[in-house]
Amino acid sequence: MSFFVIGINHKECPVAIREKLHFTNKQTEEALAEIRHFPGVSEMVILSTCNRVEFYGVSENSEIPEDAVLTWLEGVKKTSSLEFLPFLYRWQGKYAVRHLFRVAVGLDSLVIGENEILGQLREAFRLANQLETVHSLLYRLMEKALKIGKDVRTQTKINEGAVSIPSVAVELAEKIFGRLAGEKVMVLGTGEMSQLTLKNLKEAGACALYVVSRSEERGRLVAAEAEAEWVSLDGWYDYLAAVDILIASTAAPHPIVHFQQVGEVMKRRRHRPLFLIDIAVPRDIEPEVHSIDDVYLYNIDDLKSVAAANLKLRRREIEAADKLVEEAVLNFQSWLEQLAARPTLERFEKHLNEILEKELSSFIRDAGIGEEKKNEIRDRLRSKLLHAPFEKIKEASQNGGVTRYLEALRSLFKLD
Amino acid sequence: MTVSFTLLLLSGAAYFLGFLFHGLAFSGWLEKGNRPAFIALRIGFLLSTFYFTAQAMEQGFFLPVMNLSQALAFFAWSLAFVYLVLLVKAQSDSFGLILTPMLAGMIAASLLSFHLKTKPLPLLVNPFFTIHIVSAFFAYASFTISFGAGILYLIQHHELKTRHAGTFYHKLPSLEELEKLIYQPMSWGACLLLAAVGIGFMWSKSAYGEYWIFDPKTIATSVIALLYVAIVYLRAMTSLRGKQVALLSLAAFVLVLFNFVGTRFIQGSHNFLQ
Repeated sequence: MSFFVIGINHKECPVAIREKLHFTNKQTEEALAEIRHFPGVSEMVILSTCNRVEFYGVSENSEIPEDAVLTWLEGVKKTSSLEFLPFLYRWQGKYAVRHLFRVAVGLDSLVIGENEILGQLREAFRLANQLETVHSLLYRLMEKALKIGKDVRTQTKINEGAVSIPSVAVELAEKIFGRLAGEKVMVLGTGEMSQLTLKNLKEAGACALYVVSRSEERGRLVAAEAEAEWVSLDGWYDYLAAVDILIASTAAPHPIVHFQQVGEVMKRRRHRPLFLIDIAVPRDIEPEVHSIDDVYLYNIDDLKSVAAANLKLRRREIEAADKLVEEAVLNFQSWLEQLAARPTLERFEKHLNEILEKELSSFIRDAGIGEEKKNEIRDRLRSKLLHAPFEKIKEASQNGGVTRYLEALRSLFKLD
Repeated sequence: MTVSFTLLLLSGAAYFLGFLFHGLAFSGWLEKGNRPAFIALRIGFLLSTFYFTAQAMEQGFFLPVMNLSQALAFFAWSLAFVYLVLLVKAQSDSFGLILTPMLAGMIAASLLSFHLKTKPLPLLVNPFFTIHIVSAFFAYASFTISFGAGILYLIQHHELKTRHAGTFYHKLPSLEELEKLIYQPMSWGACLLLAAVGIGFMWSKSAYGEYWIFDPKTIATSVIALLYVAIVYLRAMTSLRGKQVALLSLAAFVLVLFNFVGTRFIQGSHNFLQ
């Protein structure tokens, strides 16, 4: 019995191949239903995200069932394994455990420490559990992976600070306005990034007020989705005084938000803070606007530099996270070794019991001691005899040296 | 070592411990250090309260400003009271980092001059005078909170304007919260100081037969009260916001410092020592 993982991820494998091998939830369910009949594979979890496709399993022998998995994958995804073989990695035993723990913690993610992977792993585990393709071993491993994922995020700062453009925008808004509670947002343009930023701001507590666009049809559609009001690009300025956050992302070739306009608006707002997010290239807002008191203008490069600074902070936490992962791997290995040692230890205990029972019975008969006293003496002798070797084996299980002791036990006491 | 000295010493030690925990939390050495820091701050405040109770019991009356030692300790107590009790909803971890060393420093200075024993003039042992003093101290404590929040506001404002996501950006509260921490104590501080001046006039009438005594401290206090009232008015009625309010809270506090410390060196009728 050993753990294994076979997979591809964002580090080596190009997106064109990753998307070919991607599994939706429904496909994962179908795949698990098929895989459970694979010879030599007793348990399986499929983790498929936009950055990785991985098969975690327990093989019944000491080999990774690579050929079986790859042949099946070729058939399911209608692709040749030659395409993805150069990017394929496979780990076994404690290396597979370490890989899974690093994935759960976010150390293997494109954005270090990101939280999404933990949810995706939980979902993969849930699906496998539902289809009964996880039993005692992989179940325990998955539980431990989710726990270490949570522990590392609590005990280190691996997931602190926003690192994507929309989340940086939310973080900055919260640094200006405090916890967002109904701050009004206007969006200039209907680009994908501006919608994503608006969605993030709304989720954080802001309120979408106006969507400004040249095209009325598209504008109304986006506004309806955001529960906002559509405003024509010709009349947007009249509404600016009412908003606290402006996201600009039009395709205009020159700035459409000018210094003088914002200056006048700030007087009308009695200098309530105004947060301007310019994610357009070329820029939509004149950079001089930032010099106005209580106006905070961030363009795409500024947002990226905040994200980079936050990412730098996260990178400082890698060492601490790695240390926690190593501890978890060690503990899990120790548990596995103790589990593997259990049959031998049980046989040894039984063997010892038989000897004690036999010898004590004849001695007690001669000495005239009662049955109760005999059992007490037997139990005491057994615990004293077993204490030292069991402790030693427990200790050895933490250093991976338990096999040596088990072999010695089997050989010395003829347990086989 | 008397009971009151021991209480004051322990109070100072608790504030200092609070500062250490805040420092460890801020530097990242002890992520959860702000919680024990806050507990230490509350213990320090409680011990200070016991100290003034012990003093009042020893003297037989409550007048905690008879010498510099008492005045400093009472100011520290007022500061902790305003922060812990009145600003319970606006408290922030990073503000504790500024407050605790101030409190520990004031208690240390109070302990150093502890041996100075003075007796008050009989006319000071008067409820009007006590209310006058307590109101004034609470007002100055409020202005000190505004001043501290003003500094933090300017730092966070600088981080946001320079687009620098450094330690301060991450650790300091939002501009909105800091502005609240400037403006709220400033508002009630202005009211308290106006009340202190008014009650002072009444006490002056009962003690000296005149409402107004021409004295540097009286003049400075009146000017400060009017200045803070003006800032509060401008903040409420005009476009005066954020950075300007923070800067004004700093400027006005310079006058507070002059009034609290500077006027001690100018001869006037506020010098009541026997």
